[in-house]
Amino acid sequence: METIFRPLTVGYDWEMAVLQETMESAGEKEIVRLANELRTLLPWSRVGIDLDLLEARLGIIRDWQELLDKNRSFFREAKKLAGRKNYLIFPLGARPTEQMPIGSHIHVGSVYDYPAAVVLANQMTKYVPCFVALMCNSPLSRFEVGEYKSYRVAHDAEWCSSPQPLHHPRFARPSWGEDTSVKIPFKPTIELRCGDSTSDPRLMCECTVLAAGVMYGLSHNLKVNSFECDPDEFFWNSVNRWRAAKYGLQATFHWDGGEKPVTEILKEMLNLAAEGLNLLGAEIKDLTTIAKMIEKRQTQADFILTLYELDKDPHRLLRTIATIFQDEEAFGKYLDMAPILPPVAPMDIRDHILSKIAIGSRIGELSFFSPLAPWDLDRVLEELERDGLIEVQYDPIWGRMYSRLQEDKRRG
Amino acid sequence: MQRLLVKVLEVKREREYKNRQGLQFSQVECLVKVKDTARKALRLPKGMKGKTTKISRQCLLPWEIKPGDNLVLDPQESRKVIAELIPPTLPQRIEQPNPRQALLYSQDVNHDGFKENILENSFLKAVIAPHYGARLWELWTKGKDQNQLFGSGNYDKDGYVELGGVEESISGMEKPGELWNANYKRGGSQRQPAFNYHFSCKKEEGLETKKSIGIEPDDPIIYQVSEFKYKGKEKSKKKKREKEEISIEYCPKVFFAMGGEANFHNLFFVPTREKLNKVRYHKPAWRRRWGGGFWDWRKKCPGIDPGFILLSNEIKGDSLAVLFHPKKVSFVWLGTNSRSPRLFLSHSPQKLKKGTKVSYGVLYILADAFDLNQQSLLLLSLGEGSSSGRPLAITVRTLRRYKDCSVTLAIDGEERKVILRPKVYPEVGKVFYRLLILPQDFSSVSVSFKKGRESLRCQLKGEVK
Repeated sequence: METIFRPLTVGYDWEMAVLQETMESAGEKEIVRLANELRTLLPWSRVGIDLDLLEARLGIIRDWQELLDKNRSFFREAKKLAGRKNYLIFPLGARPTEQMPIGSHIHVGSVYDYPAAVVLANQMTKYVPCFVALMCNSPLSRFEVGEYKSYRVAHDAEWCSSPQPLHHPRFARPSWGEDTSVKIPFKPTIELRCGDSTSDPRLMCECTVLAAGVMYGLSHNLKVNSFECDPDEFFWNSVNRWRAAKYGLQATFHWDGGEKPVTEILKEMLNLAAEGLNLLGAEIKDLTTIAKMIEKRQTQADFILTLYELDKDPHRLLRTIATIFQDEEAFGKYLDMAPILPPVAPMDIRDHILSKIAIGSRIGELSFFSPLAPWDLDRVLEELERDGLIEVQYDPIWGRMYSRLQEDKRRG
Repeated sequence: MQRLLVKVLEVKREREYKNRQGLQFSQVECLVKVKDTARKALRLPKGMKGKTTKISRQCLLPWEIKPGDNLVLDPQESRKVIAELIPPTLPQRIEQPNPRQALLYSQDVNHDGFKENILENSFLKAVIAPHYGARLWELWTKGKDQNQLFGSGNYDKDGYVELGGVEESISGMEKPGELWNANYKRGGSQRQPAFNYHFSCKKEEGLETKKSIGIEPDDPIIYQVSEFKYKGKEKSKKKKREKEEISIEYCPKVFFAMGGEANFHNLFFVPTREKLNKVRYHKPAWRRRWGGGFWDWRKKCPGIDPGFILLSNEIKGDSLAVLFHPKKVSFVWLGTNSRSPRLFLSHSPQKLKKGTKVSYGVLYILADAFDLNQQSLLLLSLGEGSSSGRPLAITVRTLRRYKDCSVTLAIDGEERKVILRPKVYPEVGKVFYRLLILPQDFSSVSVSFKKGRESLRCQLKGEVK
């Protein structure tokens, strides 16, 4: 069967914080210095910076073992060099106290056909929530905790990983910052941006090849002359993305017309990825960390939330987890002893949107709180209005403004 | 807010236990040594570095705390450690009590190891932090025992901490500059009763600032005057021809939560040349990057001719009027969807030549009821009651050039005319004001202000008879 990958290659830009002992960033200047030293030490690496984060890049990888080896060398050397100045290298989806979401961006290549890549990116919309659930690692963000296992995804990584629109392959143009971004013509890759920065180096490698496997599995016989779209599925993909950010691997997705635990879907996804994994010299059984996570429905976010029970102050907690994650196998050890978590019955998306409406809540704000595309959000708001739960006002400056109706007003 | 960074010297395991999920934990007692604050921009009290103390922690096994680890102490732990080493003090009176009952004293209110200065009368209590920019940090309504200012303690880039209260910047509204955590020294006496401070800027060499924050004995008013004087840089051979001039862009930032709640019940009333705007605060889903919305024209309001903004909680009625010189403020910026409600008064940029100075003033008035229009503001403020009755302050601020001002006061239906007295505050302008003593058991008081076409009216309910 024909594929768009010629050949299948992988890479990542894995963002990580470089922290002082106080847990403040080492600062852009120091991170540039560190990146330059790493680049000299490891000539194959393409390490750089992104604002005040170190961005690990290993170059173009064709083989699973090569990925593991380079990943290990990079991480160890980076820690060693940073340690000389008492800095800590710490990948995490979001620092519990600071600005800036931190992501693990996976690149799959080599792909040269833009319209075909767009069709593949459209198809990935369905699978993005699975990666969100698997990689969620930001259960605290800017002193907030409790609502999401991935605040980063819930906040669309602050415009750096936005829910994906569907593009017609004939009319699409290059764009930036969507969950799955086609990098052509600037780079011959498709980038998966939705993953939180992974604290566990092995999991980072496993997610990288899994993403490549899934994209390869979807890459056959892509139709570039037509636009295929199921509005219902598009709606539920958005809801699933939100559920994944909220519940991690405890989420239940709306999948192929019914409700299904994400862990069951991930098992099917592994089979979809098998062929691509083989091309990279890996097998499903090599993804040992993912297998344990699926078995126990545990994510890195659950590990942090367990530690949060002991250290409820976000800054205090950050210092604790930064120390714990200097043990590269910390998450693996946690998975071995962690209990199996139950699937969670999801909150109704309607209730979620209603909970964000107060008095005169602006549509602009609601669209940030909502995972839905404008058309779907409007249908939910119309439904809430029809049921007498909210009322709308039209403001020439702020746009539509929604207010919750009190019980007595609802009764008329 | 204060968090300390400590190094673990010794660890003693006290007990080991399992939780319901079978995870194993230990409780340890650690001997720790204070290294620094956990946020470099915050201050460490003198003598704290190197001090040792014991703390108790729980650990998930096998990741037990080891000697040599660094830990961050949360605000409660830090407070406890500071209190062990710097015992809390009783209020230390600075000025003799004014016969008209304004109190000035110092006390470490928040146990961060530094003394705050406090101004108090029967309407309000104001807490000033000289070590964090001599900011007006808390402003309490006396009768309600409610702080109307807010500090989220959130972190931002370059070590900035959102300490809250009223923060000053001379670098425009987008940057915190160096004043937000500057260590002001007390000294100098300009007006009484007031606290006076001074600070020599480090980044803007040669720039000195003096600040005075004071109250009147019987007003719900706090006034703040900041003066900036440029003395010029020390001359060096290389910089001999350098222009002896600097530019400052003064911007006081008011972080508030009227009624103690930083939620959508907070309203901004903004009288501009165009119209009277009423804008509601909404907490956003997430913080905006790329300037935090400073560029959003909907949040920028120029032409505030009457020189006031009113902030209010629509449910509780708690209100704060912010008064300023209308010609010096180029626009106000409303943080209507920032992480917490905030108001920035962006003053016009000012060039200072060597030897020249500039002053800015802001007035804060606490109120329990108000009415306003595009030009004028009427405020009623109730003070804390005593055996002689309950103080009521009536304040009017208006754009119109009235020479005199009177209102009709009705206490439990009994009407009388009250003449308000004009008072001019430096760098802010005129307000009309009058203090009255109400009987303790009044049930309602209403005040109406009519002059020409203008008519304002507001009412307060008292205790039920």
